[in-house]
Amino acid sequence: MIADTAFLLIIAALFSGLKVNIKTDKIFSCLVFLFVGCIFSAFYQYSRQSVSETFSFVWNSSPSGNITVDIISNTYNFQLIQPFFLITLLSVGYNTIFRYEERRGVFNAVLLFNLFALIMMITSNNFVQLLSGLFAVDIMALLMIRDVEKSKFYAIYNLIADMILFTVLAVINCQLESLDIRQIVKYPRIGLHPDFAAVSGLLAIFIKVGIIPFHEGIRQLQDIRFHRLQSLLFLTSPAAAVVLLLKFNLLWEVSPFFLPLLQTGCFIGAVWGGFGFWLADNLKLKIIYQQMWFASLFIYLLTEQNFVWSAGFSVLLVCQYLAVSLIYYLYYQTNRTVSLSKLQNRHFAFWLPRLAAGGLFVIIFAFMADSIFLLYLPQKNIDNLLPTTLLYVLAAAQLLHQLCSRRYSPESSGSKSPVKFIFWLLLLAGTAIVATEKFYILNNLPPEIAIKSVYISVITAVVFIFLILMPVPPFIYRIYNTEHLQKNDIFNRIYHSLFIEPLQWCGRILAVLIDRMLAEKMIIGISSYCLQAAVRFFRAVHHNPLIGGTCFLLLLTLLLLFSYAAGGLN
Amino acid sequence: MTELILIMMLLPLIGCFFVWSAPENKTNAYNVTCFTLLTNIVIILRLFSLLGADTQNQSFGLEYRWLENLGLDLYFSIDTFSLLLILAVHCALIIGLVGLNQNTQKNKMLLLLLLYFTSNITAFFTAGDLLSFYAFFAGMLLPLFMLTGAYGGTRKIQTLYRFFLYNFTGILFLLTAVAVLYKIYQGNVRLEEITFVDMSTHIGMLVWSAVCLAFISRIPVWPFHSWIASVSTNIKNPLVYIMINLMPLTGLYGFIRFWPLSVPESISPYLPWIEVFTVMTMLFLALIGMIRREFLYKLFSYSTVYYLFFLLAVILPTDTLRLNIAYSLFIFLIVISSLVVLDLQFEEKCRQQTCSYRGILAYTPRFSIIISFFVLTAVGLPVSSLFWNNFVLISEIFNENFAIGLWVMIALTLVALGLLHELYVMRELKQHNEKAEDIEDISLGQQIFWTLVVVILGLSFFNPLWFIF
Repeated sequence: MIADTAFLLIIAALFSGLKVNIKTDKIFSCLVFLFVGCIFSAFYQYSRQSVSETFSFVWNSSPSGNITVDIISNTYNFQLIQPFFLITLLSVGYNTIFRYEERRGVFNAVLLFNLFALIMMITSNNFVQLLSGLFAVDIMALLMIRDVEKSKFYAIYNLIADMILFTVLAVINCQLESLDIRQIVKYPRIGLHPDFAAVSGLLAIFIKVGIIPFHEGIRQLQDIRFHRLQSLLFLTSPAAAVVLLLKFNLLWEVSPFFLPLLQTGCFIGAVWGGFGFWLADNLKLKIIYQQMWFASLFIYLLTEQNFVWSAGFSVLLVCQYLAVSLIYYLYYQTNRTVSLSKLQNRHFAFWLPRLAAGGLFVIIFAFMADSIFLLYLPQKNIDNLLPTTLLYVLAAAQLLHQLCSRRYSPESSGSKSPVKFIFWLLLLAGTAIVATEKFYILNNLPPEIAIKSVYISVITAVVFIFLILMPVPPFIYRIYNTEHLQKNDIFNRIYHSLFIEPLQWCGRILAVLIDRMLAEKMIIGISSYCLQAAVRFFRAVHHNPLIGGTCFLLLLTLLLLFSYAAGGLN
Repeated sequence: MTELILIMMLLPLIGCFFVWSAPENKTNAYNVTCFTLLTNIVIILRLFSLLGADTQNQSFGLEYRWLENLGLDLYFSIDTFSLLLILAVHCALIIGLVGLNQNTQKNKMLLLLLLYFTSNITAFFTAGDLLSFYAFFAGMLLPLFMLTGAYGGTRKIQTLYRFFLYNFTGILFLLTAVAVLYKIYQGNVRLEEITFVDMSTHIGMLVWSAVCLAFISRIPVWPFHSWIASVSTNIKNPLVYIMINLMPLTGLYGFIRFWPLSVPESISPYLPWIEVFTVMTMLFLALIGMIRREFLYKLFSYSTVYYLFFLLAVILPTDTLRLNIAYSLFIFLIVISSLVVLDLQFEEKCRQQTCSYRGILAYTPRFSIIISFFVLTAVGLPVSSLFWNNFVLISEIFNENFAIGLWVMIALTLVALGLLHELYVMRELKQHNEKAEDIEDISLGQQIFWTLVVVILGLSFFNPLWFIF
C-alpha cells in the first residue's frame, strides 16, 4: 500500500510540475491538492489495518550482495509516514491559497518529490536506498529555498553532514560486509570503531536538525518566504535526521558517548532555542529558534522512549506545525511585518480572526502539553527540560500577545485580509485530525493516566491564557532594538576563525612550500640547472680541444680501470 | 570478432588520413573526426554485446607473430574493463569536440593529432603483451607533446618542459623494466603472466620499482604532480585539456594490468609509503584547490584527487572491485570532460565581454541547470553510478586501513566543498558585473546535447551497462 501511495505521489508531482500559465497554475494546484488529499485519506484508512507487505525489486549487485529497492508497508512505517504526509498536504494547501507564489505547481511538485524521498528513507532496508533518499531530500530543500545566497550555507552544512554519513555507512558496510540495515544489530559484536560511528553520526544529525552550534545554515534562511521556511523546517533535513536516528539508534547506542552527547546537545539546543524564541525581533528568526527548541525536545523525548516512534510523536509534530501555521496566518494579517519592534506601530482590523487564532493556538498548545506529558511520563526525570519548556511557554504567550493585541484603526478598516477563509478550513481540518488521533490515543490508555493527561491539558490552557493576557515587559522591546544582539553572527565568525581561515592558510603554506619551493625550485630547478650544465659542458667539449681532449682521456682511463676491475689482465 | 579489435584500433588512423587529405575547410575535417569517433563507439558497443555483461576475464584476443626469431609476438585483447575505459575516452573526446565547436581555435592539426592519440590510447588499452604495452604507453605522448607546445598559452615553454621531464622519466623507467623482463623471459611476455616471471629479489625490486615509478609519474602523486598542475592551468583549449587529463588514466590502467591481484612481494613493504604519499597528495591538492579562485583549477584539483582515490582502490589486495572502478571511471571521465567544456566555453564568453563569471548563472538559466547537475553529480549525489560505486570503493579502503580511509574522505569532502562553493559564486547575483547580463545562454542544439549526456549519466544510476543489448 505504501508503494501504491509512493507511485501516486510521483504521478501527482509530475502532473504538478507541468509548465502552465499563471491562471491555470492555481487550478492545477487545487486539483493536485484534492488528488493528494484523496491519497492521504486512503492512506489514513489503510493505516488502521494491520497489514504487512513488501514491494521489492533488485536494482543492482555488489560484492556485498544484491541491492534491492524495498518499500515495506507495516504499521510502524504507516505511523511514521503519517505526520509528514499530513504536513505535506497542508503545505500544498497553503501554497495553493498563498497569493505571493508565482509558480505554485513547481513548489507542489518539490513538496511531493520530497515526501516520496522521505518515504524511500523510512521504508528502506539497505544503506544505498537510505542515502539516495537522504540526498534527494537535500536537493528538494535547495529547490524549496530557491534563493541562491540564502541557500549557500545550508547547502554547505548539509553537504558536510552527508559526507559524514557516507563515511559512517561506508565504515559499517566494510565491517558488516552487508548493505542490509537490519544487520546493524550484529555490529556491537563484530564492529570496530563504534565510537567513531556514533560520534560522527551524531554530528551529522545535529547539523541536519540545525541544533546549536550548527544552526547557521538554517538561521541564514530567515529572509525566505514564510511558507517555504515552514515546509523546510518540518519536511526536509530535520525530518531526514529523525528518520536516521530511528534507523541507526541500535548502532550508535553501542558507544557509551552517544546518549550523554545526544542529551547534552538537546539540552543546549533547547536552552538556546528557547532564549532565541523569546528574544529575537525578527518573526521568522523566532520561528527558526522555536523550531530549534522543538527539535531538541523532540529528540530528547525520542531518547526517553528508546527511539520507538508512536502516535504521540505524530500528534506532537503536527501540533507544532499547526502552531507555526497560526503564526504564519497572523504574520499575514499584520501585512507581513517581520520585525516585532516595528509591529507595535502597525494596526489591523478584524478582532474576530485574532480571537479565533488565539483560541485555536491555546487548544493546539494544550494538545502539545499533554502529548509531551504522555511521552515523558512522571516516573522519568523531567527536571532536565522543565525550565526551557516554561521559557518556551512564556515566549509563545508573549508572541501571541504581541501579534493579537492591536488597536483598531480607520485606515485599515477597509483592507481585505490577504489570507483567505480556506486557510481556516485547512487549519481546522488539521486540528480535527489531530484531535481524532488524541482521542484514539487516550482511549487506549489506562483511565487514570488519561484523566491526568486531560488535567494537564486544561491546566496548560489556563496558564497559557493567563500568560497571553499579561503585558510584554518593556525590557523585551529594548532587546529587540539592540542591533548588536539581534544581528549577531558569532558562530559564523567562530567557524571562520577556527576552520576556514586555518584551512586557507594551510593551503597557502602548502602551495608556497611544496608547490613552489620544493617542486618548482628544487626539482625543476635542479633538473634545469643540470641540463644547462650538460649543454655548457658539451659545447665546451666541442669548441675547446684542450678540454675535450682531457675529458676523453679521463673517460678512457676510467673505462680501462673498470675493465681491469671486472675482468683482470686476461 | 578479433577483426573488430583491429578495426577499433586502426579506424582513428584511417580517419587521420581523411582529415589530412581534407581541403582547408575546418568543417570537413571536424565532421570526419566526429564521424570516426562515433563509428568507433558503435564498434565498441558491438564488442560489448559480443562480450556479454559482467565478464571480468579477457575473452577476445588477437595474436600477431611479428619477429619470430626474436620472440616478438604481439597480443591484443579486450575485456569489460578495458572496453569501458575505451568507451569513456571516446565519450570524453566527443564532449571535447563539442566544446571545440564553439572555439575558434580548432584546426586540422589538432584534429589529426586527436585521432592519432585516440588510436594510440585505444591500442594501449587493448595491448596484451609487454612490448606493445610499452610502445603505446610511450607513443601517446607524441601528439600530446605537440599539442602542449601549440596550445600551452603564454607559459608554454615551462609547461612543455615539465610535461616532457616527468613523462619522459616515466618512459625511461618503464623501458628499464621492459628490457629486464624481456631479458629474463627471453621473449615478449604477456601481461597476465608478468607476475609469474621468476626473478631474484634484487631484480624483482628493480623491475617493480621501475614499473611503479613509471605509472606514478603519470598519476600525479607527489612529487610528480607539478606537470599536470602546470598543464591544467595554462591550457585553455577544452579538447587538449581533456586529452592531457586522460594521462593519469593510463597510469591507473598500468597498475591494474601489471598487478591484478596484489602488489608483488619484493616491493610490498613499500606499499604503505605509496599510500601515505598518495593521501598526502590528495590532501595537499584539495587544500590548494580550496584557496585558488579559478574554477578550472578547482576542476583540476577535483580530478586529480579522484584519480588518486582510484589509485588507492586499484592497489587494494583484491580484484573483485575491478568493475566498480571501471564504472566509476566511466562516469567520472564524462562528468569531468563536461565540466571542463562548459567552464571553458563560458570563460571564453566572459573574456569577450570583459567581465568575470561571478553571477553569470543568474542570466543563463539553461547553462545554470546543466552545470548545477554536473557539479552535484561530481560532488557525489546519487544521480549516476559514480555515487554507488564510490561507496563500494571507499568501504573497501576503510576495510584495508581505517586511517587512510578517513583522510581520503576528508580530501574528497574538501574538493566537493570547493566545487560547490564555486557553483554558488557563479550563481551569486550581487557579485555580478553588469556586462554579464549580455552573455548569451547555451543554444538549443547544445542544450539537447547536454540533456543527452545527462540521460546517459542518469541511466547509469540504474544499470551501469545499460547500453549493452
